[in-house]
Amino acid sequence: MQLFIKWMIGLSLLFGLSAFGNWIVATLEWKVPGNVIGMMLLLILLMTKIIRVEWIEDSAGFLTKHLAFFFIPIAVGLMSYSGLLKAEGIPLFLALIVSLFVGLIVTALISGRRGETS
Amino acid sequence: MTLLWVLVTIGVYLVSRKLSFKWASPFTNVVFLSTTILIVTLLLFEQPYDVYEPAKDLITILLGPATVALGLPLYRNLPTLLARAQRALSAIIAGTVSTIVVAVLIGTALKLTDQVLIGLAVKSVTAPIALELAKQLQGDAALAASITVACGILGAMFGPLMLSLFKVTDPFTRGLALGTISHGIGTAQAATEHPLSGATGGAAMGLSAIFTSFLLPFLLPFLL
Repeated sequence: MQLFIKWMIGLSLLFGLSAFGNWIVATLEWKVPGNVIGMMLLLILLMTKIIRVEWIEDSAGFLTKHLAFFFIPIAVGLMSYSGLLKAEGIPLFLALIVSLFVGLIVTALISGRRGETS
Repeated sequence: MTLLWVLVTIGVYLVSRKLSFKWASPFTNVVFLSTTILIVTLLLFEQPYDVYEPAKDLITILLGPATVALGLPLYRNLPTLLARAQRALSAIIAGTVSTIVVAVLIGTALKLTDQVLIGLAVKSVTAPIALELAKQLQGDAALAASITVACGILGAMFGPLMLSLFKVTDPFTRGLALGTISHGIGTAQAATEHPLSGATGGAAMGLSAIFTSFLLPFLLPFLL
């Protein structure tokens, strides 16, 4: 029962912050995803100890562990673009894979391949 | 019917997850494998995407709270992040700019249409903001979101391999790079490698989205 309440509190907080983030972005017309604002708010609330880690660690841990799951239905939407993929699929793939490689390596080289700590 | 598709999606995800642990390879990447299985299933039963869409809407309700939840690993790794904040920030900005420029230049050279080029310009940020950005740039929002998702999947599939090829072993940097270039899907992949990677991925995904939103309206006229 205690676990159930913890989950409910955790999920409510995460839902609330997500909704609040979206509301802020919509109201102030910011060009930033509301979820990212929600994430920053959670960080601030944890730092100021207004939200305690114990309240959200189960639900937040579960959701981040399965984060990939929530993108699958969106990815299934790719099937609506089979026409485009036939026409421009190969050049599009090339542009994506080369830019992916360049972007990753540039980021990694500046941030440090092995890091200062490890 | 909607509930059935939700259950099928969960089932396919769990099986794909098992397979990805058993045989680690780009093609057993969870998002890639699950998506492929689901699309093939829909095609086999001759169902259009419209049939699946209500299930998508239901599942993506949780995407918001799940993204917010990344604030927790961010909090837990805050000292590490702050200690390297300056270089990390430079890395995110340089990575964002380079991937956009390379993508649009190659796209232009290969004569892709303007709508696809706009999709390529916004591909590195998380789908909801890619959608907004594309609209702002007079692009096709749904197409841009799809290219964004494709970028995320490719990043999750081949990104870890590319990073290992360049002997990038630092979990901090691996997460940062995947989050910068492949937003949420890359971050989800990073989170399976190391909790620190999940945290830096989440931070990088947010920062690169913010940065791209401000930069793109100025950068794109020079590229197109």
